[in-house]
Amino acid sequence: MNYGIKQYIFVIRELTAREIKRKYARSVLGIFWSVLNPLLFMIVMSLVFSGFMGRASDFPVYYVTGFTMWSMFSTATSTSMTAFEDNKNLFQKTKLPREIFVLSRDYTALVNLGFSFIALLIVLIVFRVRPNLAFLIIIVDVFFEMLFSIGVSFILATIYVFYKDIKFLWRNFIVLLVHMVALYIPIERYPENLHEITRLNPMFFYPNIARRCVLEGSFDIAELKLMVIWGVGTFLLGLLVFKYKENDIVKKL
Amino acid sequence: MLEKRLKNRLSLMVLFAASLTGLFSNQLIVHAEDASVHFGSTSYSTNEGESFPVGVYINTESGVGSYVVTVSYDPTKLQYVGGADGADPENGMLAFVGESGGPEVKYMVNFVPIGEGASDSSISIASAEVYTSDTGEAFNTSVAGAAPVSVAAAEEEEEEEEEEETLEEDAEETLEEEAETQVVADTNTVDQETDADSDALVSEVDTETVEAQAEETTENKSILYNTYFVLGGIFVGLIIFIQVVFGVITRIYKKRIEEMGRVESVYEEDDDEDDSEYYIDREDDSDYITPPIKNTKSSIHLVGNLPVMDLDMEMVTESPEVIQNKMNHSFTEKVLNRLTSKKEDITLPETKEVIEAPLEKKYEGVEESSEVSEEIDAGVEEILENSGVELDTSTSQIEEAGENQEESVDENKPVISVDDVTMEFHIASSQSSGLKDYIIQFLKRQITYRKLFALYHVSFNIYKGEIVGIIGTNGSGKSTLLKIVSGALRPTEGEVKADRKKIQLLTLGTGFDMELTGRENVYLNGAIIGYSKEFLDEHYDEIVKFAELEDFMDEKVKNYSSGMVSRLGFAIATAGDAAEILILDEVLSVGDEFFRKKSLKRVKEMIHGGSTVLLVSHSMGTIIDNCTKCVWIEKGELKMVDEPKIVCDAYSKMKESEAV
Repeated sequence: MNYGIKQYIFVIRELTAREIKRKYARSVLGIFWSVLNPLLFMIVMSLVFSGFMGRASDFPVYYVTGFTMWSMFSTATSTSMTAFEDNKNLFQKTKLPREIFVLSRDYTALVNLGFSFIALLIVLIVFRVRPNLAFLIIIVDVFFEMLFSIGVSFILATIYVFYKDIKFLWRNFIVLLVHMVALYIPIERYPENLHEITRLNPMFFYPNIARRCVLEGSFDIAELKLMVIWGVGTFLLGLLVFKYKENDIVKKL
Repeated sequence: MLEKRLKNRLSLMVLFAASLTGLFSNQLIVHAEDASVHFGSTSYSTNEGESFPVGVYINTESGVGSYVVTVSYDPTKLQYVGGADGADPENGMLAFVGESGGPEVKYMVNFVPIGEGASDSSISIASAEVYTSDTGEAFNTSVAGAAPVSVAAAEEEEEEEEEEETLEEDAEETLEEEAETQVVADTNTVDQETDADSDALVSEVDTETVEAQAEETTENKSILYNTYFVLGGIFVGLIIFIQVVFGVITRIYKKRIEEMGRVESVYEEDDDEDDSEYYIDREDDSDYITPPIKNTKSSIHLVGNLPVMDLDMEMVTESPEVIQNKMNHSFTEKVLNRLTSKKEDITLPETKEVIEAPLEKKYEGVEESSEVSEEIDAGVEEILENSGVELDTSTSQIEEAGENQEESVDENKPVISVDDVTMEFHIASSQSSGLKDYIIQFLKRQITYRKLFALYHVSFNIYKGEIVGIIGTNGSGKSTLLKIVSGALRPTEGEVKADRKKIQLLTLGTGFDMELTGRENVYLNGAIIGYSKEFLDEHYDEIVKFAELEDFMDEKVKNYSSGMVSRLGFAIATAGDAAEILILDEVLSVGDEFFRKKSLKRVKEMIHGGSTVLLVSHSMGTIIDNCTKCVWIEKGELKMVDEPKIVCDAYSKMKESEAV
């Protein structure tokens, strides 16, 4: 019996493999839907919204980048919300820290993101966008968005054990978020009075950093700072909330 | 000193930067003259209706004295909106009159384009007279040309950008000017002067840049930053606040409920659900806590004829009425009720007669014993004597075992020590699974908690090498106890001392994913139990072979029969080497007869490998055969801790009496 960090990783990988296998259990294309999905969305959205950008080729890139980043957050949080509830049986069986169930869901979202990046690369190649070195910032960005998502996931999963309502509330919130992250229309197009509010949204700058570094090949130090602060802060807060409530969760299940 | 040095260094850096920007800027600046008057930018462009700043600069090499500068603009197209003190607009002319001691005078003038649509106009310096500060002589003043102003109905972004640009240019320019003065000062004058100059330079540069950028970027950002931090703080604060408030409220509320006695007494025994817990209310303690069965202790009663033994046991310890209730579990409730009701009216001797009457009929030969306790004892001895040699040997054996146990108690510390453990569950009487319900009920003060003691002051010790069986009816708290021992749950009161690292909990069937294949489930389940990947790779074949599922491993588990699932579960659970403390939760009632034997053999191997074992089972046979000690938990309470046989007998008796 070893319960070292290596074992945690092994368990998370196994759980993630399960999630992915389950998700695409009866589909023909399987995991490739993770690539196709953003592409299909992109085509539809480009038809509708491409007039909003200066250059026609910018919109697909803009959209796909934002979409992949946003969908990681949205799937990570909404799937890991039910992580404790779904794994009730395993929950009591294992002596491993319970965090792994939430982490495995988040990791699943990350793997999904990896595949979605294939879609992004395809779009970049098709539209002949040549990213510069700043493109690499996207990796850092993803990392901190992951931290942020994990934090939010812990809070949500904890609440979900006690109040199932949060699922429906969150679903609405995610829809609201679509507009808050300026997914379809660039922020500059928003009414003036919405700018401030939108920029305050922590979920805005993760996709925004990604879009900036892909499209413009540049970055904003202030934004990067916020990225780190929010990522680490939310992660710690989430962990704290979970630890504080852990025993109650076990009782409740 | 340090500050000065820092300032020097800063000024040097600024100097360098300024000269660099000066090199690369395409601005045309006249500096061959003694004094120059010019605009901040060669051309301006702005948006319709948007004000834009224009910098007017007067530079000299040796210091500006008094000056009179007029700037002309087209009053039909541009309107002066302010910005420069001391400048008064008059019919398209702006006059700047003043005196200064410094090398530079700067005015920031704001204009707003008038009229609609795009238009072009220009600003120019109409006249400029600059005099030296000491002698009052007029400088040879060079005047920059007119700066064109283009007003466009351009897009917002562009306009913003350009505004920024112009501001930046402004800043650059001033830097450039500063640089020149600095050079002069350096070459000609003493150190002190340079210091003074550099000071002025630094401060000026600072104000310049701040002025230039504060309006556009820094201000906005700092506001943004501040709001962020404030919001974050509020967010965190709010969560903590809510937690605290909720905690306090619920605590107060709970207390009040307890004081008011509003906790409803609850007796719920869900017969449908196996895992239902027994609900216990504190206030009705006296009712549900069944009077403890007197632990007879005396080993005499271990072997022999059961009914007789039981009779003796109860008689010795209890009053005649209770005996009457207890000894005849074949009695119908009616008889019992009749007896007890009569007992209240009639005096003792009479009761005895009543009691004796049915007794004589049903238990002939034993009835004498109920009259006097001495006679009972005698009867017991007789009976015991009748049962012969076997009894003697067995008692001696048991006594020996007891002694051994006592010895081991002295020698070793308990491996697991369950110390006065109480596990209390709060269950809201009306299940408010939703937030809305919860709030409504909270406001209505309808939330009453049902207290549910899954375990109530349970304590016992387990020593190294013991094999302890745990029995109890469904929902009696066995699983809760195991969870607490294995560390999954923290008890409400009391504590469990055990080395959690050594504990291995084996349960079956749970945690299989029906959508996955058998192979995938082996890895998933194994990982959760705590096997490493290498271990699973190694033992995979072994597991499959033991489960007898060689042909089904790539089949989805949902297509398995329930027996196959539990076989696989058992195989995975027992694949590893036995840990020091094994907790087996119902692992022995799996599969068909043959597999059960096989699994029993496997468990026995593990047990006899020297581990301490906690075994939960419904099969008393298994417990009697394998265990050295047995714990009986009933409705959250510890009933007995003793030799397996004694406990099992008492347990089965209680079951039987319940069944009737």
